[in-house]
Amino acid sequence: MANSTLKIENLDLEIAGQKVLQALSMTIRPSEIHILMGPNGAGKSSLAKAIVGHPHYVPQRGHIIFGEQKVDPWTPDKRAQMGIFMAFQSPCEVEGVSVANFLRTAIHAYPHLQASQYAATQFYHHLYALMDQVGLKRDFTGRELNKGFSGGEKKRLEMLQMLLFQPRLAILDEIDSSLDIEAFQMVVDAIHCLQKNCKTGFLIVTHSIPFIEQICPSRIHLLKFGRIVQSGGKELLARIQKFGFNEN
Amino acid sequence: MTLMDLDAIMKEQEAVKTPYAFNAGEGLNEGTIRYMVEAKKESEAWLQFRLNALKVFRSKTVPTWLPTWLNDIDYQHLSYYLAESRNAKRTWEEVPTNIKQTFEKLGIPERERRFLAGVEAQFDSEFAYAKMRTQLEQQGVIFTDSTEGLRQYPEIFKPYFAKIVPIYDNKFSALNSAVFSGGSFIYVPRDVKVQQPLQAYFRINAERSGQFERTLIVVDEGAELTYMEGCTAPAFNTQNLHSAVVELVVKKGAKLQYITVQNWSSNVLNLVTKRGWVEEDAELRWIDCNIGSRITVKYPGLILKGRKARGEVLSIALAHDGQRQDTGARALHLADETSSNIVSKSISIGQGWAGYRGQVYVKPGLEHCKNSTECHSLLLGETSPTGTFPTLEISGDSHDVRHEASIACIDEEKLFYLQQRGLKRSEAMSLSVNGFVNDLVRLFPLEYSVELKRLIDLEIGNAVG
Repeated sequence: MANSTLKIENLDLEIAGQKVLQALSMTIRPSEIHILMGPNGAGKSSLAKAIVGHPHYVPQRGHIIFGEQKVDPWTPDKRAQMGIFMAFQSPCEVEGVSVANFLRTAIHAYPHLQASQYAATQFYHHLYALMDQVGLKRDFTGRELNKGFSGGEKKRLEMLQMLLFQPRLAILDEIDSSLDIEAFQMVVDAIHCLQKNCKTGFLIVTHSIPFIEQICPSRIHLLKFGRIVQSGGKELLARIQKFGFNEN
Repeated sequence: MTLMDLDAIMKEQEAVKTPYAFNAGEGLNEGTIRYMVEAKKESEAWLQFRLNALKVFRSKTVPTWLPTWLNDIDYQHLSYYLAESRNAKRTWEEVPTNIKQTFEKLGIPERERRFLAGVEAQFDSEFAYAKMRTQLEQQGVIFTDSTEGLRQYPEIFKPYFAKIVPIYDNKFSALNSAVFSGGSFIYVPRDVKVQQPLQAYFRINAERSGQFERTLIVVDEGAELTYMEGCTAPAFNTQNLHSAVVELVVKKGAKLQYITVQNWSSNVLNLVTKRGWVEEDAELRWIDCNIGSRITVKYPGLILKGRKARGEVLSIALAHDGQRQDTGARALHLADETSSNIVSKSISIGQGWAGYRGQVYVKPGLEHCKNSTECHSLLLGETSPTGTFPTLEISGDSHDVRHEASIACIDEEKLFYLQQRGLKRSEAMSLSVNGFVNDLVRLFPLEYSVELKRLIDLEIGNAVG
């Protein structure tokens, strides 16, 4: 597989005159799990959206490089097709579009999955196995996408899509919020599964210390006022636990 | 078949050069009508009917709520009667090759083999082909055109002809009455339930011409029918006029479903009057999809005449730049415990206008009538226009009447979410738009829902690139 290291170089992001990210740099290599922590409004979700190419989060300066290519000119769909996936904190509801119809349409967008080669029966076989894995009942295939889903069900569907699309880089924005204990373990397992089998790199935005402990991250970053103020290993977690985000 | 192929077939396919055995020439006057009556070998009574309608047409103006440019239609530079033959063929082999090829490209013979109970294919002014399964003939089902219907079965059709949509109803119903030709005349006898749909296909082929089909369907007591019509034309730079009148009669305890997928090319003015008469405990459902044409003016109507009569008008309209879909519904409640359900979903792309205009009327003195009206507009551009013009005239205090309307721009966050999953922007938009109309589309026979989805994908693809 091609190099799928994510390099963020000196990223500046301003929205409506507000500095959201300032000279932010970060490197995530294949199979690495990076945790992004920080107080509300620090810029965590903004960074996630900038990486996946949200049209309202276009950096003014700096570069995002994925596998040695600058992604800046790429549309969100191109970024997705190149293997950058984001699990949303609150995924949109799409009326009238069934989960199965959506997944079958989307899977064809990924050249590396070679979806056109599988028959529909193989697709469903694979899909059902993944649904079991994330704990979604099979009748969810006929439900409208995210419509009327509970918070937990939405998160399970996000994980299902991550496992199905096998991204090279996955960004998870507060995936652990509104999860019960069972779902919590499912998410941890899904992350480790992709880390191991697909060498997926992760950027995980979270506030949850138990979650981080379960995940065994490669690196933890503390983001404040749009800057990474500290990066480190587990020792950083212990300090944050003790002193909160305010300690410098 | 790819979407581009489909587009080529539907709209850009060149007109077939065909020698018309009958051609009334350009212009609309008494001579035009005398020529038609002669060609169709109609009686003196029909000549007088048509001439009278011409007078009414000339005396009427275009309804004031419509764009004023409709007053400037150049009626004298259109052809009103063009036919290759007066007699519809009963096998495709007999249909002239070039005309047959047009219908083959539209997939009509294949559909007929697969799932239709009967097909009529109108090419300009007359049917080129008409055939129904023998079993239905044996059950007494009549499936013919307007001329033959009135000539051979006057006792069945004449009591209703021009009664549900009278000549003087509006300018275009008068025009149709003056120069009508073709259209389906159908009779389903008592208690006969036609399992598979009957389909008519309308093709305008000639430049600067008009098509004025006249459809009358009578579903007798306890009988059931689904009828579908599709329409296309090659794209010309000049205007084509399509002005149909459709009259439906659903007798006691009968059921009729009338489905239209209108995909005229964008030079066609589509000015159509459609109305159904629904008797006691009978049910009429209009499913009306308008994708093509420069302008469509069409408000399928329900006259709920018998106690517990039920009616539905479910419509989808999509307008891109330069188009106006002035569509909607009418429901007239004339008996106790009648109910109507209206759902309109319109999609405006760029400066295309798609909206809803409707009337719900409950006659004074009635009890326990129900109406539910829902109008939803989806705007694909920030400045896309739409409009909702409901009129409700209800008297009495035992009725249950609801009106709900919504207008929404396409949700950018939703598009972004879908794009993040790898869908192109145009695919994300198509998926959202198809989702928006999905609850109506799923009521269609499968073949038609697939076709409609393709047409929507195509329209969005063209608009978004």
